[in-house]
Amino acid sequence: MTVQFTIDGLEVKAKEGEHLLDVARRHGIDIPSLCHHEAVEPIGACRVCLVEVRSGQKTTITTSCNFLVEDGIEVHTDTAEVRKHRAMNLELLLARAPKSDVVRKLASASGVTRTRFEPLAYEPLPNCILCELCVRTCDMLGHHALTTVGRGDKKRIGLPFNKPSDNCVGCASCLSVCPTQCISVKDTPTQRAIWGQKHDFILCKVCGAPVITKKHRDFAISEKGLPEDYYDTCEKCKQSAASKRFASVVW
Amino acid sequence: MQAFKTPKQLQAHRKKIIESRPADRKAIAVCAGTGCKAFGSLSVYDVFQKTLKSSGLDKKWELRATGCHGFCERGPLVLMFPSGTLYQKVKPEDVDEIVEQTLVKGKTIKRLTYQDPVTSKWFRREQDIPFYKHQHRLVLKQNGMIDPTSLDDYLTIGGYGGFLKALKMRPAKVIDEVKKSGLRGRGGAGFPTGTKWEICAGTKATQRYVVCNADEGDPGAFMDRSVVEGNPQSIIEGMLIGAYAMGASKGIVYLRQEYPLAVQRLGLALESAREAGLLGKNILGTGFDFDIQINKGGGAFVCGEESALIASVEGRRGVPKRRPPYPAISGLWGKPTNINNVETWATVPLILDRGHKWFSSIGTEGSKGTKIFSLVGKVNNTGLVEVPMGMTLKEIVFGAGGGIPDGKSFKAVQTGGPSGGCLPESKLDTPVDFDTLVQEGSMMGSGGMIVMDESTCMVDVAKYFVGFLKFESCGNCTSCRDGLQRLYELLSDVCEGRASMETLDLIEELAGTIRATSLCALGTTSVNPVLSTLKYFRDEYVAHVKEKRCPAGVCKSLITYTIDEKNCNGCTICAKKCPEQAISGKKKKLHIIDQQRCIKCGICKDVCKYDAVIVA
Amino acid sequence: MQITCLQCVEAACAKVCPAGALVRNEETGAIEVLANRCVGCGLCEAACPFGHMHFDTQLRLAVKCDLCGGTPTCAAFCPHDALEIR
Repeated sequence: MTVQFTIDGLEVKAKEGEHLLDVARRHGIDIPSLCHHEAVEPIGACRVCLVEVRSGQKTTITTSCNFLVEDGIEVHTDTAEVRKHRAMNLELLLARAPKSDVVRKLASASGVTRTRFEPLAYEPLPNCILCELCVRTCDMLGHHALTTVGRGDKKRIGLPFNKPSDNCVGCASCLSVCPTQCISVKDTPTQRAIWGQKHDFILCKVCGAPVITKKHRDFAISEKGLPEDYYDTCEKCKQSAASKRFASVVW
Repeated sequence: MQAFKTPKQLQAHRKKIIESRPADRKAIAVCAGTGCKAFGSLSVYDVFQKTLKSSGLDKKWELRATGCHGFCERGPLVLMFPSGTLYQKVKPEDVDEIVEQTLVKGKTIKRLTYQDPVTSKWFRREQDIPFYKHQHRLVLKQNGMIDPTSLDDYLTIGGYGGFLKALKMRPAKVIDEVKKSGLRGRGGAGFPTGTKWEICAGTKATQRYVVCNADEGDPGAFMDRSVVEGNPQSIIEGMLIGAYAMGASKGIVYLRQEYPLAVQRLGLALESAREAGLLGKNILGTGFDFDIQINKGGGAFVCGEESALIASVEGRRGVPKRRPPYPAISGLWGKPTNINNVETWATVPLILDRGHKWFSSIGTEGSKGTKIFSLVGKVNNTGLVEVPMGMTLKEIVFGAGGGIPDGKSFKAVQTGGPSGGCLPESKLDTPVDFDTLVQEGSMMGSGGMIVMDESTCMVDVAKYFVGFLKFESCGNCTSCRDGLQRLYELLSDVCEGRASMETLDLIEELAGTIRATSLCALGTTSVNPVLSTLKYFRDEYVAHVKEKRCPAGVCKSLITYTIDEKNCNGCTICAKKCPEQAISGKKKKLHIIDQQRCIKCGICKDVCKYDAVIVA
Repeated sequence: MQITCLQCVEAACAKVCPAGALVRNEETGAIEVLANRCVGCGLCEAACPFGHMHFDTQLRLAVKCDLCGGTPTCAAFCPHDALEIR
């Protein structure tokens, strides 16, 4: 079913069951956010993507990432109320992640350049804003290695029970999706250190460069069904091997 | 218990048992609710049992260990039928006298009856005691009349009459009956129960669930606990009626693990209902299948929020999810699920049994029926009170509650649990119903009611509740997780004399964002204690900020303990009891408190018999 | 000889992508990275048999030839017309 409504006066159409933020972005309307990623379900953690939704007599401030679009609503993305509350939530996040460029940039776009709150000593992940993108992505990938630990002001991101996890394959997607890049991943030529664990790399059979962690390859083989030799050569060596093969066919 | 194969068989058994147990038969009800048990009521029960047996009176007198009677402060309670005599604070050694004097000779033992602490009047009968007199007990009254482990006891007081009536109606008619009664959810939000049922029943599905939310997490509240412990069959009957009306075949009771007695009693009740053919396949031969399982919760406050409750039942972390979709459309495992609170379920059988007109005649225009409150704090009569909707706060606090103890004056009452607002004396005439309380900046919540007197610091109170909620926040939303943490820090600044007037502005600003932008009700209502105290007790905040003074003498950083020259007679008790040896002074000479060593614990003030310790 | 992405019919990169971030553009026939869906796991790079999937360690995203939206700049700029589009 199609629903029709307006965003900042613009008439838009969307499918029932779509989320407001996705629809807005599709129509070129930017709503800032930190915890949204198209690959995973929205949870409304950062409370930055606020909008004002008017429906009949009712006006509510709400997050757009997890708001299911409704027919006939009137959405405003930049009202005084929206700006006020967004600025406050960004001020809270700035106190939590004072060194994050992304947070600082968004905050200053909302007029927040300093925070009135004390700096938060947040261990073990300084600058983590608890958006849970890492946890959601890890779940979506099927690894289920990461989780949130504790609740309220004690909430942390980590491995279950803070113990080494067999589920982590060392793919580092958690870092890839992390808006503040606060997750530590350290690669040596043969190993990757992540979440307090070390993972051996498969080394390129030609040049010895790292390709992918062994556990990640094993997971991919069992889940995706590609043959093992797909993962045994590095990008560059595969490229030159392919060039040579094609050259021999053409000439 | 025999298994009933048809409604007729059950009806016949009910009739037989009601006739065999006339209403005026002699019975002794010893309260075995959690409060009275803690006072030792089980030993009272044991002695009664032995004494009645040895004296042969057990043929004449029926002895029952019942659920909570509500007047917990005065436990152990012993109630006698049909006379209505209530003995309070009964000790095992009192039993012999009760048997001899009251049971045999019919005399009242005055010292065991209730004396009003304010008027000094004595009361023999339960119904005359002001605590009970102001109440209108529909749900709670049954607690005192039955042994919660006995299905027959429940049948005696009319149990399963509502279900039998429901079975004669079409499901839609049952929903209609609940709708017309005006019953609104007792869990806090006050959504019309019948409408919720209608939505759930109207959603196409192969499987539907009914859930009883017994995850009572408010500090100091125990209404639901008392109903589950005292009358578990009423919840089962309510859920049966709901399941029949909505076409659900599975029921779940989400019950706190910290309520072991409730878990045990409900488990027993489910077993006996199954044995009697009231749960399981083809109930009473009507083709209706329904069974209930208990799901024990781990004690997270947020799991009382329905979407978090669903996540918890499904085995996930208890984190609320955005609604819509509402559980009535997509709940447990994506199926239509109707979640009602314990009190709501326990009320449903009464509505079906006595009719919607009877129920809607009680209460106000917008809020029908009665509501149980857990009346605690600085009030003479603490315990559970069930009152008609629309009764004023004053009637509850000063009527049933008997006013403020120790001659102190009333300061505020917080309704609705940790996230309710604190209302001042000027709001005491507020009628207690769903809508008015919200208008005044508080809420009904699940029925917590904490009374505070002049010795309570309202900033400290706000800080306490914010501290509780920041700990219980699931941590999903920035506004709630970080906002409450920051709010707690700011309130600590006020309490410890570090705050400026800008701090108060920031508190208000931050509270506004937490309220406006958090996902679930835990977050949006969490700031009620702060905003309501800022509104009604702003002068106290200002005193903390500007004068660095705590008017109630509570906030440690802003008070000092000194000894009054005039009143101190040098008895040395304060010096002996001071844990820090901060008090010095010779016998019969003025004592002095070393301010460097004093930790402001207040023990000296508590032990001084001469009012010589001054807090300023 | 230099070759570029073959836009395979049975593309290993798209097959292994757990996020559905590698999708064929029906107009140009190219397989494109949907940057907003890519979670940067790097599987596609490891899986491409020809070495034409690249994982950008700065952006932490997969990057590949998308035929420049249908008019490949490499072909247009080759000074010797050594590249052509057929």
